[in-house]
Amino acid sequence: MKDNIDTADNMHTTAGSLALLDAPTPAEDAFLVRRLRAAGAIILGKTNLSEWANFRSTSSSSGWSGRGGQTHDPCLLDRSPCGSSSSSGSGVAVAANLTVLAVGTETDGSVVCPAAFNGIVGIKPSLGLVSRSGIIPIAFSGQNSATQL
Amino acid sequence: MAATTKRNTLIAIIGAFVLLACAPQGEESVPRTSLTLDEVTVGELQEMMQAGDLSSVQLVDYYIDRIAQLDPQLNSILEINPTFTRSHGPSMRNVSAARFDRRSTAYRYC
Repeated sequence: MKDNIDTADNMHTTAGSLALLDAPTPAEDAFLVRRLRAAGAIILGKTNLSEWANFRSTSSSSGWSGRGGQTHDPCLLDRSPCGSSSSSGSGVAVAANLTVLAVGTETDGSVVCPAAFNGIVGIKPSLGLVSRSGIIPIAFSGQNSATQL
Repeated sequence: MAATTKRNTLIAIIGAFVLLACAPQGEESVPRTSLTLDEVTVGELQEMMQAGDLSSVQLVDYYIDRIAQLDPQLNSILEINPTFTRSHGPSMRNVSAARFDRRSTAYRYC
């Protein structure tokens, strides 16, 4: 699960930022987490991302967060896991077979780009099809949850 | 130009062999569950579970072992759900605490 998606268990939800490391645990799971758990999914962990889902700068480093450091392309460790996107940890975790499915979020390419760079499939549902409640937003206009597999 | 490209290709090939030769061998590199789940789908996992060939505990162990093995070089995981890490020791609670030298180039994780 990308680290900007609320989990109300004993994991952190920080959007990769050290500023939220001591923040209270979210009161409830994000909508999509609730649905996944109800369907029998096991939430194995939280994935690295571009901190605050790329909100730091228009030219920030993809897949870098203060908390997790730089995410590396599993095919070529010194290359970017994607040119312009934030769900890099989710894409890399699936590509390296560290999990069978990962959830990312996308406003503009944050799921489909790391999926393409890592040789996996990224699905971006139509905006609003999956509720965004419980996802740390970068913009109220567009961020979308999506699955990588 | 062509000669340079050829030489670079050769260097890359030699580099790849050196890295393969350096790949960890033996017991430590084998996941404890001895499962092989490359390219597996959710549907196949469900079939294996329904047939009694796989338990959710085995599955979680498999992925946690892979994360412990590979993620120190990938940095893709911020945190493993601590519910599942009791048997894997406190060091796995925050994977990012353990860092390898990530400057090397390798081709074997995807």
